[in-house]
Amino acid sequence: MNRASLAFAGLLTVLLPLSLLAGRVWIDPFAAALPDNAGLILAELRLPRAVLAITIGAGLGAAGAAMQGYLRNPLADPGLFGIAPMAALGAVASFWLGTAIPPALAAWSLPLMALAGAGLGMALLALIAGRTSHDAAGGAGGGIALFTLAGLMLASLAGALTALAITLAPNPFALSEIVLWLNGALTDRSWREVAIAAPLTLAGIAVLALAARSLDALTLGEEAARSMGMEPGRLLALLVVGVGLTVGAGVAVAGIIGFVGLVVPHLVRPLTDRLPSSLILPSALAGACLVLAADSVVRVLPFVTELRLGIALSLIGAPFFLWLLLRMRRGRL
Amino acid sequence: MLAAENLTLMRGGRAVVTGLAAQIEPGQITAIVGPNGAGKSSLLLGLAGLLVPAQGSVTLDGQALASLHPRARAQAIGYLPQSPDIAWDVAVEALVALGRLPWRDRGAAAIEGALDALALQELRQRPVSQLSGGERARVLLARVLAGEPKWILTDEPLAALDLAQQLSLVAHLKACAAAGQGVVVVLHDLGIAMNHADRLLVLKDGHLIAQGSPQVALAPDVIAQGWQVNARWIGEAGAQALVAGSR
Repeated sequence: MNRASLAFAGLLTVLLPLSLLAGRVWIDPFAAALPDNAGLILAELRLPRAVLAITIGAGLGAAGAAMQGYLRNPLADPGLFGIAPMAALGAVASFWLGTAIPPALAAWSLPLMALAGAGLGMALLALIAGRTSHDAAGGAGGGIALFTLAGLMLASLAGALTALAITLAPNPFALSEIVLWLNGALTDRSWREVAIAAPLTLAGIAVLALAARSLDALTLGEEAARSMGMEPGRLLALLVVGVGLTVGAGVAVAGIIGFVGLVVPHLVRPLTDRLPSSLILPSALAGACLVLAADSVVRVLPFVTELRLGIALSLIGAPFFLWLLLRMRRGRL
Repeated sequence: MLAAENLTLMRGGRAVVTGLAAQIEPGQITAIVGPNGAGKSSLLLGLAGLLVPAQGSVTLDGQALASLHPRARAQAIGYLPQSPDIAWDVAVEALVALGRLPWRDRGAAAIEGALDALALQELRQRPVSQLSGGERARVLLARVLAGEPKWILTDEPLAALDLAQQLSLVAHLKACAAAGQGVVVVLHDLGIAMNHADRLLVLKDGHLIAQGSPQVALAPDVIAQGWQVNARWIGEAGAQALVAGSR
């Protein structure tokens, strides 16, 4: 475990208890008498929500670090580059299938379709990236711009298809529910969602960790990486499965939460030797911190209705993306 | 020995090397030269086992490269592409340590050896973005040396270096050859090839048009055939210069 992992693990152990205490009903651990329903609020509302925030943040952070390493692109993000939108498309498609699915599988159809959508998105992105890396030989800047545009295209295509699927939805009552869910939130989540997302996310992070050394080899480009024994087919398979599991599981239970995968590796990189293998575990921990902190903040903001977590993170993430672009233009990335 | 037998390589649906046969010995510098588009880089990729032959084979000590496990191949053959862009701004030390990836060990002694050999100890903490062109070229070669390969294959390592840096890098490659490693290098500069390589492979349009010692393989008639240029060598052995006349 490196310095960055220790730092973010330490931060997480501070944030978790704070997050449990914060909310509409503040729980003061030093008060003489706790509110009547404090136990219920903690065990059934705040703890599952916090664990889910940690799970989703960890998955998105690890996926962002792995994607940035794989695409050799510091702007890569599961949300921006279409992986999470593809997972959402899969999830919405599962609403569509509805009655066609046998009841035994029905409970799992949404998460499974979300995983498949995320995996498919990663495979498509790799396909486009693979093609452009040959065309753009020599032009490094062109390569990054091409990947980024390809990712944005995939995201907007998946978004458009999702919108289409919603417009044509057979059940109009499901509409508003789907739209709300797409915005990404952890409101009213229970241990059921934790049970779905946590094992899948952990498995996904483990798969991404297996790819770490091959991602390091890619630092010098694909041919140098192959000369060091990197096997492109194996690496792609690990990325498709790992990103599919982490991002798909998150989208299945909480909708699209963007920018975590983009922001987190940049926070972690200065604390490490900057190689992708040094980023995956600390990015998982830092992602957990970011989503947990953001979810705690949206919960206590004095709005009439709670600010959606996905929207809040986009409000932080979009200016960050702009700042990264400006830094890249000055050649400091 | 690294040997190509009836080697045909395809890239983008086009034959870039056709029916090539060559035997390359360790312990010396073998340079691949030829006009632009002759297939030099493709041949180097083929010899490195990174481009699978469409026909024929490349063998390493009698064993087909295509049949080797990627890691075993990576342990034996180090490959340095032409001025690769380095995706992350890592420190020199971390970049050189990447050379140990085929071995999956820390290889501290090998990394120190590579840093020493290329005089990089003072730069070991420096981010690669802050290196000069010559320093960068040395770091990239050190990455290959850290893997302690039997063979070093490098594509135009002298491009974008000034004269002193070129000669310094050539000296490092010569030291590797003297230590028994096989060095295969794609060169653009015929003067460097003439004065510093032990053996040459001359390519044109994917065909081997000459091979042998520099004097033989870069004789004026070969240059006329390969480059369509009338030229002759002047100066004494080891310090010869090419004087190009007319087309």
